[in-house]
Amino acid sequence: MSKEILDQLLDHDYDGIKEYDNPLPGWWKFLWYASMVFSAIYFVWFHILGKPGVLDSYESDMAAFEASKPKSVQTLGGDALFALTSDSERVGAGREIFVSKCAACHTNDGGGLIGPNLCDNYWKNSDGSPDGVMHTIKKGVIEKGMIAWEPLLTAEELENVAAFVLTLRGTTPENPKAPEGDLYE
Amino acid sequence: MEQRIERFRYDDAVVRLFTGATVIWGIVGMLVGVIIAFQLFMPQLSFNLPWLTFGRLRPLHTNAVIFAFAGNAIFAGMYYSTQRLLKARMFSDLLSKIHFWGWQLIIVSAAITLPLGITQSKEYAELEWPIDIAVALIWVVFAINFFGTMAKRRERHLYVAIWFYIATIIAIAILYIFNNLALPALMFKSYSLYAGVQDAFMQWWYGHNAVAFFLTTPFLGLMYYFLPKAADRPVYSYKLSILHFWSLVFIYIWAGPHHLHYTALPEWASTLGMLFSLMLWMPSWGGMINGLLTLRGRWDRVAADPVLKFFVVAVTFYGMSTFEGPMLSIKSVNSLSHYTDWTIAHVHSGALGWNGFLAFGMVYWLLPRLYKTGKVWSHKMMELHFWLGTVGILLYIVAIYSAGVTQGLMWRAFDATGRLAYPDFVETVMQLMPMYMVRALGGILYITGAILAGVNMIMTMRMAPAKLEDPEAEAPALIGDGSELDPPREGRGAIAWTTSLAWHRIWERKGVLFTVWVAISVATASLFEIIPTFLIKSNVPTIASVKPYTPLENYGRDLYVAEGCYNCHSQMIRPMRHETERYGEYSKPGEFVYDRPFQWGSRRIGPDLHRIGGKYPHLWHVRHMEEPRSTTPQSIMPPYPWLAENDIDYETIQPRIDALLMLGVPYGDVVNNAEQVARDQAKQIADEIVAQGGPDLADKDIVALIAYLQRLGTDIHSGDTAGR
Repeated sequence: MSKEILDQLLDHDYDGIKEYDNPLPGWWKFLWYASMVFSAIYFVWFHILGKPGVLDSYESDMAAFEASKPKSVQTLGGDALFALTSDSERVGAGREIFVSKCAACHTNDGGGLIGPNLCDNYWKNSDGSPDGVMHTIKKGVIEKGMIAWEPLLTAEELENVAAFVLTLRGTTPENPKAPEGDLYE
Repeated sequence: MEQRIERFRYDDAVVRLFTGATVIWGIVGMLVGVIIAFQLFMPQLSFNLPWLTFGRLRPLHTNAVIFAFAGNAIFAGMYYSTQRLLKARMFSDLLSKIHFWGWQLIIVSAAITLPLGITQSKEYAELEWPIDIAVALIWVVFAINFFGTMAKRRERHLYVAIWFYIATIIAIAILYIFNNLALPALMFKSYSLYAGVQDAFMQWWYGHNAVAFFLTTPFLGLMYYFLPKAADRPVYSYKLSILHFWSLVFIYIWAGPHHLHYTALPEWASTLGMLFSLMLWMPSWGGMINGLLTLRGRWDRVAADPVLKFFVVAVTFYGMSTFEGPMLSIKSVNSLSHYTDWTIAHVHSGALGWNGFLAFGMVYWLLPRLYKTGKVWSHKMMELHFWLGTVGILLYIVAIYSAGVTQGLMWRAFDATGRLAYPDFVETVMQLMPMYMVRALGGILYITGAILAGVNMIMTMRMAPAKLEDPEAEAPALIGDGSELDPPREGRGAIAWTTSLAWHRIWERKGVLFTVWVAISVATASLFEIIPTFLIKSNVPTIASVKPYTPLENYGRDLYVAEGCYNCHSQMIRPMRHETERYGEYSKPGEFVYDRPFQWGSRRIGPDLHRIGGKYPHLWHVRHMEEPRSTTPQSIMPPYPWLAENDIDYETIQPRIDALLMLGVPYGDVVNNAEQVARDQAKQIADEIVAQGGPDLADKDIVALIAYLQRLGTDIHSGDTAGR
């Protein structure tokens, strides 16, 4: 290919501005054509051949995550869980979790707001026993808006917050919500 | 044939007006920018005043720098160069004056209405309908003045700068009108003709092309005049001018949907947005190449001449931004960058670097010519401005790139057990504080440079002779149609003729034909995307449980719009695991069918709010609005105490619902007693707040806002909303 002559002036003159008749840079043309070829292939691949798109990759991400995550978290139960209520360090850690994650519905002192009062002897979603409270925390009460915390907290965190909730019983909250559910002495 | 030499004078008075306005509004717009930059780490700087919140000032900043600073710069440069490139005085001095004063009046009305919360909430199209009409009228005045000048020109062929001006005038008219179509409900409140997905699509078709045809094409036109003038060198390649002009005009329009990746927009539209952005990379770089290579053999002069230095940095930033734009439009890159400060860094490298520096370089080149002073008052001050500005830009963008990437990575981080590493949104905000401070410092440096430009301008004006005469010029009148100048076809085949681009020379002498082709390019590309988006109903699958907002919720929504909440909060959860873990189920197109205008947002300074409904009790919202730091100690949101003080304007409820009804919202029985329905719901919510231990807020604005917030994102799962 013969080398094109550079800097040939055209007979253009606009208010003193002149123009060269220089060729288009080769790399410029190459990249432009390449972007068109890529675009054509991309469109055909995803929208004509129907290869997996954005929503498909979301679904597969979620499926992979569901498959990999532990089905259940092993935590203490019964008396061993109740014993934690006298461990001030663990109850304190549980209070922090409660205030940041639970208080929006149950208030800081457990008096209840959207969610039920946790300080009285009435329970609507469990029997108020250590195992019952842990079950509600882990599985949530989906239809009432309480989410399941098992996938979101570690075993230790679940135990801490359960221990804190168990200490609430019998305390006097500032604005107690009226009792809901059944009486468990 | 004897050519008659005609003598005439250029109108430089109007150029002086526009030039002065450029510098003044530039300083004002940047000052608002610096204030809101400080507010991001010092939220108390809103002083508990409604008109000083970030949500209201940010639109003022964007509108001021785009339409007041860049706008006046464009008009100054266009009025100066158009007259000289067409060898004719502007068509009408009266129209020039109406254009100038009308535009300034629009700017002033924007500066008053936006802080008052009068807004359409569509980015860079916030101005409400009466002002929109004024903008359209003034634009028509400008168009008549410009095309009138073209009609009486004494230059046979149209130079590339003029092509870009034509594209600007035509495209902005189309974009502005169609995006702003709205039905007025009140004097200062309208509802978009489009809803939800369609509204989002129209907005970003406009938003992206405002960048294309207000911040790119006119500035390329200015570059093509002022850069070769200042460098005294021929333009590098005429062929490149032709190709990159037409490819920009045709391709830019398609790229808008890249602002809506991973949203409820149909995926094919999003893909088109990405691919056309990639194909736009080289056409954009065509402009950069032509700019930089024009300076070949003049680099010695660049070192000594501040004007050329400003131009070189401007064109370099143009090149960087137009590489970064296509990169950000790639879906997987966008999944990280979107809603973060990365976008903010991107626009500022374009706005401060490309638009700002080109404008300032041009102003410095114009001043001695407009005021016949032979030189700018202080050379040293220009140099100082250049360095302050350059360092300011670098500090700004480096800090904000870091902020963007940091926050994007924190949002998507999972720990080893598969839980969000930073579940509290505010944790990801706290990380950005040092970067926000550096950004504010960069902004201060940049505005200091602009203030120096103001001082330099005033001092140069004082050096001017007492009487400034319009400069004289002469040129032969055009005779005939000029076809004798057309390149010979010499039996070249169709392909050889087409690829030679010689035919373009014929178009260049036919102004009307040229303009029509520009309009066709812009319109065709638009229709290819718009028609399917509107016609294919399956693009927006309806969801039976999604119902219109109640009159009170709609009023609350209008407050959300007026306060500019969308400036910091998105309402669009993307289908990504980290988003659905954090915010809940991803947003579906059918959930937005009653959203006029849409409120998807473009930046998350605070968390997404699409599924905020029912997440917190009413009382939480009351406390949070009164003082955000009472519920989230590290929050950077300003307080909104007036929401608990201002009464709901019940009289406006009915006209709002009437307007929505006209737009086809199925309101059923509510229609005839919207006010009473709203009063009933307000009472119910106010009672609930009291029951939760809160204050009596009966009939206060905050009750309506809470009604809206508690409704957000809940319809998709509620079969039991029938009672509303």
